[in-house]
Amino acid sequence: MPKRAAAQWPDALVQLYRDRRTDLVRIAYLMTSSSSVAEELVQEAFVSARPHIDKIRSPYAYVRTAVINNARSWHRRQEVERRLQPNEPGYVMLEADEMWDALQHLDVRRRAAIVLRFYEQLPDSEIAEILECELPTVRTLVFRGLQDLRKEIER
Amino acid sequence: MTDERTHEADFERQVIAMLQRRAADIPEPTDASGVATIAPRPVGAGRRFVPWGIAAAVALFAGVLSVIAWPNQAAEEQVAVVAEPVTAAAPSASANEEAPVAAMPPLLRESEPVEEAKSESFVAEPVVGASPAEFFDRNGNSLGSAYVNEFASGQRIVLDPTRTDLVDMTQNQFDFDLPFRSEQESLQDALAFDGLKVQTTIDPIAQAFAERALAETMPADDRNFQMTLVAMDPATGEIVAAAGSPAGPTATVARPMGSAFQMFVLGEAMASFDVQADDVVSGIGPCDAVAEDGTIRQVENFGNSVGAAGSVQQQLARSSRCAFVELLQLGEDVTDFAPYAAMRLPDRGCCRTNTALSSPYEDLTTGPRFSVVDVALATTMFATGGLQPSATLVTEIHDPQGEALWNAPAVAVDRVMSEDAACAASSVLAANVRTGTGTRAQLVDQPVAGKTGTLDTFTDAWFIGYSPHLVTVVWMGTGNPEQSVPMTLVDGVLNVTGGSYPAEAFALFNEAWHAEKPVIPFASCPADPASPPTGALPSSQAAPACPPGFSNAVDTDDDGVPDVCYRDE
Repeated sequence: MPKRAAAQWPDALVQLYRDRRTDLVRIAYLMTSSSSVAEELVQEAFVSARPHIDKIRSPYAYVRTAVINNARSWHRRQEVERRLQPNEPGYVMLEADEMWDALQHLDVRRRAAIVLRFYEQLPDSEIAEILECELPTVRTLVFRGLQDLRKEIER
Repeated sequence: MTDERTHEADFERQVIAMLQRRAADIPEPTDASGVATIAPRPVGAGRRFVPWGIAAAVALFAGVLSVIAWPNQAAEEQVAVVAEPVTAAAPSASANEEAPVAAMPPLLRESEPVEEAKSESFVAEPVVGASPAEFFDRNGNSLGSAYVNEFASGQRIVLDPTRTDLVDMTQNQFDFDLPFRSEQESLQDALAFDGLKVQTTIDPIAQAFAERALAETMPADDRNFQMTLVAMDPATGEIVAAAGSPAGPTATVARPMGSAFQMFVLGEAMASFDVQADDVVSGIGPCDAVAEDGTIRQVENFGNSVGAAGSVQQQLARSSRCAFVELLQLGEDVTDFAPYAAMRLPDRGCCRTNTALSSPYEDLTTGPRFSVVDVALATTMFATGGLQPSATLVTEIHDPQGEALWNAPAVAVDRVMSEDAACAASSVLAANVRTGTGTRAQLVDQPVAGKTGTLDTFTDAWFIGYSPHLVTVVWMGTGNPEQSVPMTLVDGVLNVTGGSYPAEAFALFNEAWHAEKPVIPFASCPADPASPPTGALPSSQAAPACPPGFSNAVDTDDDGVPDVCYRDE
């Protein structure tokens, strides 16, 4: 049961909310393709950052990592849902934006790597931290991600 | 080789361009959405809290509940108080005004006892042609007094709200249509009585749970925000709790439902057009919709997002407006489609409200304007397997001598959708609580189905949900219906969506209320894996019960909670 703590939010988070919320929602949206889900994931990320704010060096990086993690769990839950609904077809994309369509078919870790590298423009080392993997894995994820995108488009 | 590299770089540029293009789907906060114009409050400032209405509510129920073991119950004594009208009680100070800090919701502030509320006796203004009446919950405890007007009309009873917590504070009236026609004369006589006794369907325990859930959930804020919760027994239409925080419930004020309306479109699409949960519809926006007058109107998805095609179930979990525009167009005549048939409610049952349907297309963006009570009544059809009762709040009116003046008619129940359709809709709405926008509404044991509603402008947020036992509707918005204040930066950070505070209050209330209720599946839904008889996928504390037919729970993200179940071989 979510239970509210005292109403005080740390300055750093309020500041972050004001300055960067849209940026974070955009990342979540690129990860989930749904703006309302994106909003929710970002809110959850803020909530999860709150108890640790004293120990966090860069609130933006922390919340961004939480957003990516939340998006990954969200995809997992969606996957479970699809399994519980055996008759349900997977995503059928009808959009004109081929590249965007392709992104939605991407494995979620590859998708995260692509978003972080090409949208957030992060160095591989930071991506590795966020995705909790080794550096070479990041390169593989990005490489395979690009490959998949291309395959999907050329299909 | 060089060609290939150029090609790769080109491709990367395309990827970057796509990401930037798509990121722009999420617009910068603008004046139009109201988000940027809200000056954020300094942290720790601007949390002036007006405990007035809550104190009144607490006082009102503290006496009633003194026999119930009540952890952290701050108020023990009963204090006669007057709940002031919202407008007077909660000054809508400008958002960035400095104000004293009150960091915790009032029930948790044990150092501040209820005496803070004015403990003066209520002295009502005499009303011409009115008769004071006392209201009772179903256990015979007094809920307070109110004036009963307009008996002379023989049709209608109007409660002056200044003294009862059941009535709408902002509208200043809460009406019951009573079939007095044949008894007109005795009603004329009734005017002569002082001290009518009005028996309501309010269950004191449910009411206390509701008050407490709202008080614990309601964020401290000085912008006059308000939460209202109405709980209804879906089988009988009886209102068992009607609570508000910080003021009394605004249960009869119609407010736009936003995307919560989609659950009723879903119900109709399933009931009348045989739409199934796994049918694929396009949710791509903006989309065109043909309005009643033949004009083409453009509908945008929430936050102007593009959306995607997907199953009806996915579209509901995403709150995709354009998908529901498509469903609405199943009908040949849009005005005849829909929820409308089942939702044309204002004449059904107890509570006269200013609920209104506009055009279906407006309804899909801002949602039709519905009162909390009417939404609760409309939702009963899902919980009962397609049946809808009349809403009931008053069951009997006695004269001071105990002579019955009026009895509520027997509950009339209509079938408004088939069992199969109700069950299918419940499955989709239950999945939405498990993994869609309503996850905070999950209960540990009971199956729950529901839908969030959030206005683009964040002025209204809803959670509409039900278990097989109870329908509960929670609305949050501004206490003064004349103003619509975006609920942004509430409690420091959040944009208030239907999935946030309203879903939280829903869960707190229902967890308490369902404590001793047997776990049963939704009506007529025995063996559907999508609405398992136990609490479905785990919430953060719930033990992971894999639904029947599934086992081998696996914790894929190492958070201590298994999150995947596999279908049995």
